[in-house]
Amino acid sequence: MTDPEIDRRCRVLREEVRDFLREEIRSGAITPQCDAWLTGFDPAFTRRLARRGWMGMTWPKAYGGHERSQLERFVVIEELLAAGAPTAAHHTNDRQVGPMILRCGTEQQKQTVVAGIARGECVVAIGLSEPDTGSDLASVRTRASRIDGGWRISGSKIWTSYAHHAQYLIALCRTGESREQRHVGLTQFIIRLPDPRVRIRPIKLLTGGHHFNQVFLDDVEVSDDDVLGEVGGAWAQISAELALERSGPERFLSTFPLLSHVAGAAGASSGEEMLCAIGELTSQLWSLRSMSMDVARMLEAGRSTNAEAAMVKDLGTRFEGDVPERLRAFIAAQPTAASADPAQVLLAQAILQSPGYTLRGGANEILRGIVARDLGLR
Amino acid sequence: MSSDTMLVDTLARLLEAKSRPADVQAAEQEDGWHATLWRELDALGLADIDNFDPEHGLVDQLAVLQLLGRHAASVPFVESVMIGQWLCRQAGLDAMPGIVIVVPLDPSGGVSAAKAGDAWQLAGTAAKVPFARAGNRLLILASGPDGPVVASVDPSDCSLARSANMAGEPRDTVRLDGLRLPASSVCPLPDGVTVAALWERGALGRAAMMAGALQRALELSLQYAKDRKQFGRPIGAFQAVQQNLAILAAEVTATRAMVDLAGRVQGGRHQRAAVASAKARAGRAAGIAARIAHQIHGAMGFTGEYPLQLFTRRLWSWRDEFGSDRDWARVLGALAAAEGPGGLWPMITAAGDR
Ligand SMILES: Cc1cc2nc3c(=O)[nH]c(=O)nc-3n(C[C@H](O)[C@H](O)[C@H](O)COP(=O)(O)OP(=O)(O)OC[C@H]3O[C@@H](n4cnc5c(N)ncnc54)[C@H](O)[C@@H]3O)c2cc1C
Repeated sequence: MTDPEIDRRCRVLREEVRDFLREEIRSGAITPQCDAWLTGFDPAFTRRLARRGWMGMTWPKAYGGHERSQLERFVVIEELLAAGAPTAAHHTNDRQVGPMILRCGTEQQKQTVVAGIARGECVVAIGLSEPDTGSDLASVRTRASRIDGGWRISGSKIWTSYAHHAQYLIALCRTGESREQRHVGLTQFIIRLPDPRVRIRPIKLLTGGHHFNQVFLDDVEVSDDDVLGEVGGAWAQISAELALERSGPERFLSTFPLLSHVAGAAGASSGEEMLCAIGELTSQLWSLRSMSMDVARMLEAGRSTNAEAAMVKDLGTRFEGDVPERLRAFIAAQPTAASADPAQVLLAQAILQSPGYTLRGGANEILRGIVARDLGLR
Repeated sequence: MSSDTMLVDTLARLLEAKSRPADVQAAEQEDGWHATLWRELDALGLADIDNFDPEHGLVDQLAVLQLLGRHAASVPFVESVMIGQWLCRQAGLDAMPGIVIVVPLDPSGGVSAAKAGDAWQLAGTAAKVPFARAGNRLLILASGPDGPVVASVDPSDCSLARSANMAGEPRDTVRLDGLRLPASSVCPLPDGVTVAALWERGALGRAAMMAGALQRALELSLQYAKDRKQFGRPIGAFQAVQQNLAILAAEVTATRAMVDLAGRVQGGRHQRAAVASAKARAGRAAGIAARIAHQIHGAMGFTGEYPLQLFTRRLWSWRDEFGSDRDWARVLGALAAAEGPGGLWPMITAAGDR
């Protein structure tokens, strides 16, 4: 069921966002890019969004939010993604860090971190993966040991996006003893950065871009106030986030700027083959968006959507890779990111960023395992 | 030089030692190509077409190219030996020392040559010329008043803007602003040589390099699947990973089989069809293989430090060079259709039986 008042507000909002983005692009303030939610780190743009009330849209006003509906947030997020706007300075914070702290953080954490994100002034890095811990997240080894009034943390995190710009790092650590209870003894901590005992080593992407890092934690000391949620309760806290994290529009719109550009440049006189390609991709996209909105509604209604969310991410991220593979046939040969032709630039971006689509936020093989379990196969 | 395993072994050892991932990365950062490696290849006699048998040398050249691709060697072997020097040989021009780059290779390239009394005048631009900056001599294919001509040009007489493909290899823009050349530097394209034939040699050469790069992507993925442990096991123990590795291996094998066949049938009636098939097949494999290899490597493969990207960025680039998989599929389709009713199967079977 849709609420006519929310529908109306969404329509108005969508036009506002589109007008805003058109002006940003026209004035040259931003340039549409593929995968800009990952690579387009632009704090000034993030602050402009915050000033318009498009950060933390669903959060309580007490922490800088705007108490709007999930559907309205969906509208803003998907418009930004479709335009290829540079949202990397806040995208994951707005999507998962803020909501997690609101759900299980302390008043103090909400006043500082959540409000900071809502103002567009605070970057929080997410420290889950480790050199020996990827898909098997419960195998983390970074250890937090009790000290007087707090904890001492040692270990290393890897692939930590934008740790080099972050004011905080949320680190998943082992606090329990038992090796059998892998999922039980895990705790999250909010570490303030910079910290002399936190060393951040850049890891360059294959494009040469600096996106992620290895983070070394050498006896970093935090207080009890820096525990996020329950001691020993991190597994449940993280799992609760996953459905939302997996089914959002960033799981199928990362290469949409390329599709949009090609479709926009095509006309009725374009070859049949090209029109077919655009049509096939559009049909996939349209169904994905519909799936994604269904998951969003189910989540809002409090229903469990693990398998549906995993399907969106599996299908959607493969679609993101299919877009350049399918459309390259219709773009003058030999794409480069330095070209003067936007089609070639978008194509090169979509190809060179493609390794990430089906990995970040959980590899697709793991997601298919979740779907298979839901189908009763495991 | 005969088709022997000695050459291959010697070259393999040289590349093992001199074209390691770190060397390739350094070459990309510096000049965009690996000049010192080229000198070593020259010392082995590999930089000169006269060291290859005129009849059967092509098979050796393809073996060399597969190795160069397997090591991501940024050297102009296709450009200088398979195309540049071959053109000199066909045109009966004096052998030219050093690296000979043909400009432009693209049939739609835009340099034109006009008669100016006894001399010639050349003007126009050619973009994405592979290794132009490395050339000691540029052979410019230009459209003349009576058909295409070959003009031999000193690189210092052109203006050259550096550019690169997605793998960081030199793909430069060459511009000529009314360069005057004596009549002796310009000749018509020799009989039996067409722009399409030069392009075809480039496509075959790139397909061979792609076969090598695909092989390396497979080797890296297999090793990674054995070394990387998750859930207490090597990821290669999971069936999903095994299945993907099997698909990857089939892509690599199919490409190599087609490239080898295309090499064997050179000179035969279906030479062009076989090259078209090889480049189309390699282009298809590139996309599938890059996707699987990256997936198996997880985040590690996305980094600049880990060597996989040296091969996948080349595969993504090479599949569009000297004609894309789609361009060649169109050529092959037309050739197959031209065989007439019942002609497809004889074409496929004839090609293997030379
Ligand atoms: C662009 C990008 C940004 C990232 N940002 C962050 C970040 O900010 N913070 C953070 O903590 N992490 C981050 N990550 C890491 C990401 O969460 C991991 O890449 C992901 O969880 C997979 O782990 P891995 O890379 O170690 O791959 P592995 O777990 O080593 O997997 C390698 C391959 O094996 C397969 N595999 C593993 N186990 C199984 C199984 N049981 N069955 C079948 N197949 C299996 C996988 O599917 C994959 O194909 C980022 C990753 C990327 C690509």
